[in-house]
Amino acid sequence: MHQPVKGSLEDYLRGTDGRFLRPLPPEVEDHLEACGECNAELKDFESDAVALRSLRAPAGFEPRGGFYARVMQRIDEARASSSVWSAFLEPLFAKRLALISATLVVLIGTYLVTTERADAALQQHSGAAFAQSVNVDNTTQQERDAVLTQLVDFSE
Amino acid sequence: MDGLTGVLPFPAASGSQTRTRTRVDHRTTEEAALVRRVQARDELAFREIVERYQAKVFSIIFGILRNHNDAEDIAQQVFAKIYFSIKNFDFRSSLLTWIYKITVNECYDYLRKKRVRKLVYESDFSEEDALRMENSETVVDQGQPMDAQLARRDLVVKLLAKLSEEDRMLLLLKEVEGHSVEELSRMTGMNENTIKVKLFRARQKLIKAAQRINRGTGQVGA
Repeated sequence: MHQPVKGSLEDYLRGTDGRFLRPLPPEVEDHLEACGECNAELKDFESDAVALRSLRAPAGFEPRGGFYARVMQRIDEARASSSVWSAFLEPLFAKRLALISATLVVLIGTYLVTTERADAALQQHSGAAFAQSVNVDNTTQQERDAVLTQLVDFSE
Repeated sequence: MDGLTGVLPFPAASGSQTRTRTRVDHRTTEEAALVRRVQARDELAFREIVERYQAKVFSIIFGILRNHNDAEDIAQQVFAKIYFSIKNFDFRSSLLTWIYKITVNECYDYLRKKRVRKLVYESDFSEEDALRMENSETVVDQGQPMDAQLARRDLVVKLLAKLSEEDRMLLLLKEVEGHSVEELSRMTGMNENTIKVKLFRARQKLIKAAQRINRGTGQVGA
């Protein structure tokens, strides 16, 4: 469909009583007279518009009395049948749950990291102490060896 | 049909007053105050909504399904849905547009479930029975229907199912409810040019869907 007709289409199909609003602006009418493609497509649009308008319900259509009570009964039934799991689908609840979970993960992570650092520091400290004690042991041994050597030399 | 719809704006028809922006703030209307009361769990406000829109909802459902019992059942479902989801209503469109969308979607959900139930029911038949039923339906579709208007109505309901929720709603609001483009713009918060483009595309999709169905059943013409 070409621009002049396209621009006037919704105005043309506006008639709420099933009729279409003619005449269209002169330049559109001129175009329609000359363009078979636009004419054919306009006919299809008209036909669909008529079919769509057949979906109008007769005027004054009202439900039976007590409709509100029946709606509330339906709501109560829906409330009763909703499971605990449906709470997880509530956006606010889900957001809060996600926030709490994220906080917990951060807390546990922080705890683990700090505990590991403390362990490493302790391990480093005990390693140095062990090395020192080994050094002390080595010195004593050397001294003992020296005394024994002297004794052997003396007895000889 | 050209492919320029998405690029070129719709030219304003001479003589018509096409305003590209007809924004309405749906947060400050009297309707919005009512919605806020329902959001605050005011049951009286909800009752007001039911009473205000029940006739509208019924007529939309009855227009599509033409069955009183189904209309009552689906209308109850629509208002229950409104009750539970009104806390998510964001005032981007009018309350009526939102209710209209829920109602039409419920109708199409119902039709879809009904079709699935029918398929399950038919699967209980023997192959021969199923074939006979299928042929009898084809005869009704292809031959001269008893009531041409009813057949056309059923076809358009079927065709609308092929459109997106938004396209379907816009076409129904325009053709069934008789709203103008300007009114649709106010109701949906979209500008008039966008509405015109969307309506044009929706109408084209409807025609294409009809052509596909006709090709499938071997008929000629829309």
